[in-house]
Amino acid sequence: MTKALQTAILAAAVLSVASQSKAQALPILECVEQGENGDTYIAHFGYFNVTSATLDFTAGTSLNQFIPLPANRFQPSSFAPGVHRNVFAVIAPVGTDLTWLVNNQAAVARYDPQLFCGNATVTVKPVALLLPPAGVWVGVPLAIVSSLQVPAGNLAVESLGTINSDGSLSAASAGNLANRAGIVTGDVSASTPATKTYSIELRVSDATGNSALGTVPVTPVDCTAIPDLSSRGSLTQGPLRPNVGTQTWAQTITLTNTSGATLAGPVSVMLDGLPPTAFPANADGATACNATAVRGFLRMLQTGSSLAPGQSITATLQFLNADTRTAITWTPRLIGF
Amino acid sequence: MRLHPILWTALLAGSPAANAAAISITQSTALLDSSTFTEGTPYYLAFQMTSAGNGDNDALLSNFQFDTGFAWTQSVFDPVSGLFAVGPDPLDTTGIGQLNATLALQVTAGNAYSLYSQLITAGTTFSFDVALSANYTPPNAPDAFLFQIYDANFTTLLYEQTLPISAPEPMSFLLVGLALVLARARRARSTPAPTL
Repeated sequence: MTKALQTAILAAAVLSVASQSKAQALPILECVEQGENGDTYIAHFGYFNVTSATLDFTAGTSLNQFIPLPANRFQPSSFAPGVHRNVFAVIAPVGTDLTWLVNNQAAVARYDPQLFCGNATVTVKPVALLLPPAGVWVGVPLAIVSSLQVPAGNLAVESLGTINSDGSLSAASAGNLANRAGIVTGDVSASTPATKTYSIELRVSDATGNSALGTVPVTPVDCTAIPDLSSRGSLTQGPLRPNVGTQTWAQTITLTNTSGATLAGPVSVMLDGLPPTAFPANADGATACNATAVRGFLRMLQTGSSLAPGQSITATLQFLNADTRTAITWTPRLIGF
Repeated sequence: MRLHPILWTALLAGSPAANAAAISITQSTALLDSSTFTEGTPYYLAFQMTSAGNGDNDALLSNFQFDTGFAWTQSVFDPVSGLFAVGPDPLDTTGIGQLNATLALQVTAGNAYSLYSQLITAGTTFSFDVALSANYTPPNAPDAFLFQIYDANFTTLLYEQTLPISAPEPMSFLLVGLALVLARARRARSTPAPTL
């Protein structure tokens, strides 16, 4: 690479810093939702103060105004450093664009289904509880929750917990899950996990106040009885494909039967070594079996399906990625589940 | 969050380009929403590099041709991320719309994703050339350059072309290079469109 190009990159970095400093505070349209009477909509706004100091722009002045009038719609006059989501809401007639101008930076709201506030969702997956045959286990994965709303912020998991009257499942962990998705863990006591089925109720809320209730069935399975099929096939990973609009990362994976015999389902691929900042949002389950870290897995072949020798099948992983500095890398392991 | 990068790392010194391609979008290009690339329509262009842990890789884009279209002035709302550089004048807010524009994207061990985006109004065609470096360590997933087109709200993905990084294959590289030279010669007859 030429020295001129390196100089250009450095200059661009300087430009980036300069443009951020000039912008100072950026208004953010979070999302819109339909008003009660159908003739109006509610726009939710936040802001991003890129500086390290609180900025003051008096509401209703030319530096902090709404268009059309009234210029003051009860927006904040003081802007604390950092990102502040869902700070206030404004009601406007359907068909009227609403522009919030802060120091010449604009956020425009309009009644558009693409801007609608999404609903938090609890992903109801056949989360497999892959456990040793019997005992008490702490911090095992119980459910995968996610919200694909953009923006969503953290997910708050509340009122979750047990459910079996015999107390064999203790309270699951609660709290905020970053990155719009995560694994809810809990403590489990079971004597015969392969025959016990639990049912967990979760209430999940996103940053805009939407919430959803979900029931997640959990069937513990003795992980020592699950065969490792890694020698029966190969799995290739395609390039990662970010979607800037949905903030998800797709990756096509291909399973090929490299053995001389038919590969019968169920077959899942375990994502060993995945960095904790990345999460497979469409995972079919998760386990901490034989490992210190919880891992997700994706079902590639269902029960009753099979792959002939040399035959391949593809699937797409959908990742949520909280840290773009760290590469989404993982090592595949095939299991008979 | 739409942040401009403040990170900078020197690009690979002397890394050989192993993959080169000319990407061209025309009015007959089918988009994912069943429409076609339509003259006069605003689109967001997203140029990205993703890393799968193969070390440093970079993409150098050049020869941007907008035909009857043009690039909008850069905005702080244009999503960007990671390590990128627009040239030859990084202070020119027309970005890839400036004369003889180039765009460099890089992924490193500490920066697994780079994104540069800019709004354009489509002409009858849009095209550019891309040259990729060649660090790949099987059996990792390949690092990749991705060119995507979104709607003007940046909500709907309309077009995607992925160029995975692969180990250099000298003969195929020569053939692609020859194709690039021929494509440039053909485009030399067209006049670059003015930019806003």
